[in-house]
Amino acid sequence: MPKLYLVILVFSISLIHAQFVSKPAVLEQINAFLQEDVDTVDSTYTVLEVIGKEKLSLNVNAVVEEFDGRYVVQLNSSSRKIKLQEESVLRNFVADDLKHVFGNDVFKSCQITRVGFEHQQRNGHSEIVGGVVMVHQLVHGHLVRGPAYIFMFYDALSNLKMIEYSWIQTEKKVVKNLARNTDVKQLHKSMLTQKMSEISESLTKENTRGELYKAVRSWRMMTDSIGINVLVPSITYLGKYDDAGTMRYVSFDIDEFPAKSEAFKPEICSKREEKR
Amino acid sequence: MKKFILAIALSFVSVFSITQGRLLNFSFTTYAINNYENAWAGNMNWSIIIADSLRYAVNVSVLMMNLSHNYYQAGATPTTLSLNYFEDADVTSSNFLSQAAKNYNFVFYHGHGLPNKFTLWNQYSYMVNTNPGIGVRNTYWAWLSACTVFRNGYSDQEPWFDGVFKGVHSILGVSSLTFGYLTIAKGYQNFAVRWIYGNQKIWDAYYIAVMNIIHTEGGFDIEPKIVYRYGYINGNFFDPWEEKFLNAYKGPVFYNDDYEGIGSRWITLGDPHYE
Repeated sequence: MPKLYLVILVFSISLIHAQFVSKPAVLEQINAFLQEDVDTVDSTYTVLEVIGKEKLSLNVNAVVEEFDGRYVVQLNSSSRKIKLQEESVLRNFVADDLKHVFGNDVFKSCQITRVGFEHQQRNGHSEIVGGVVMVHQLVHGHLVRGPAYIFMFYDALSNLKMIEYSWIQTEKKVVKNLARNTDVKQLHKSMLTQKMSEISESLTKENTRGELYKAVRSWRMMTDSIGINVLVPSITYLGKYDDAGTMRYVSFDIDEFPAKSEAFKPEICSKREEKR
Repeated sequence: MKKFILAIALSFVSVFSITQGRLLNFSFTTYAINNYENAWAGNMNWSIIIADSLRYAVNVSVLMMNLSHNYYQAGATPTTLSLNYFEDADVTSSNFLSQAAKNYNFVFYHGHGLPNKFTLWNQYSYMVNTNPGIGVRNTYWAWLSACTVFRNGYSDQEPWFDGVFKGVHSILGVSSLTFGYLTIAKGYQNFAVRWIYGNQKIWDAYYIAVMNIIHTEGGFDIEPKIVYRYGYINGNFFDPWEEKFLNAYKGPVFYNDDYEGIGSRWITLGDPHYE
């Protein structure tokens, strides 16, 4: 019966969202995530209160400035002479540098999520002039969506030049779930359908298409009604779409125990030529 | 005699050189279209909110910058800010190129775009890079938040500097599709804080703000891009992507043939590795 439900769900979502469809594996992942608590209807779940920002200790000498709740670390390393070209090479350097600068404990609380390049063109000649890296903070093994990050910036010869980070400290809380689990799961799925529909609508306007290809457990930072920042359990969805031959990505989060539906409604800022 | 010639020469240098520093009068305007004439380009819901949010952030950032440097103390001159906005039916070619727009130091646009052009309110009306414009402008920075306006391989950035934005230092935009929703507004505010209050380089402030959107808020990938002419001013090499708010050139630049070349920078991101 659950398999039949899954097939129907895949089929219906594919029909409704012709421009942004889900891989069947994603729906299996969602069901697995939401299934874990299915019979434990004890009506509680865990949230994490954000109790502050942490200034990380460094294993290197560097100038550190605080700016708008973030720390900026200026570094002067120039020992590497390897021209930046490949993402996998830079990714290895990032792992080494995270361990070297912050130590193993912080490294184990990190996930290197995006690695990219800064390009420069002068009078028609293009070259890579730097590397940019996004690192998510992990809390209890899951990435945090919110101001909990390390950004790393490299020069063209793979030397780490600057770090900007915002690192949070949390405290565990148990929260009463006011809705029945079955209702919560249904709401989560209907919110997913809504978001996919909105993305699909955007992609349709651009006459392009994409797919939802992954779901991972995460924490989403939200501010509660009395102004306290908390991390709530969420699922982060990853999709990709075709932008004139270049594959680009979209990600969004839905709370595992959503309270209400939230508007996302992206609008594409592209104007296709009129046929007149 | 030699001293006389030197004095004459120095007076000419002072006339023709461009000074650098914080703008004492900073003017900022936005152009945003939610509803197009006869919905010709597809109406949008977020443009005006995004423009409003950015103006608000610019206002707060200038205030914070003035406070952090004690410019309100006796004897110091704080930066004063002039804000303006054009919405929907006021986003026309004449308003964009008019005296009002011409005199704003920073011009922000949010609406539909295509390579080399962006849409205006009037039906089938575009601002095109080859538009001759109306001479040298006092717009030092422009930001075109419009899809693919600087699409790599499809766009030609040079004409913008000869007409519509003659004299501009740099133009921010995207080489990819871009989108409008709440997180974009929050991310753009982050740019204002970084560039004005944080005194980061304009390009760093822009692309790190975009990284913030993608990392912290999620949503669609955007490929940020800056385009500019570079060359020598007062004998010093000027690369406009590095320009800081507190050390800006006060005047139009490179509007004759007095530049070395045209440049751009953009960011590409690899596949997400979320586990």
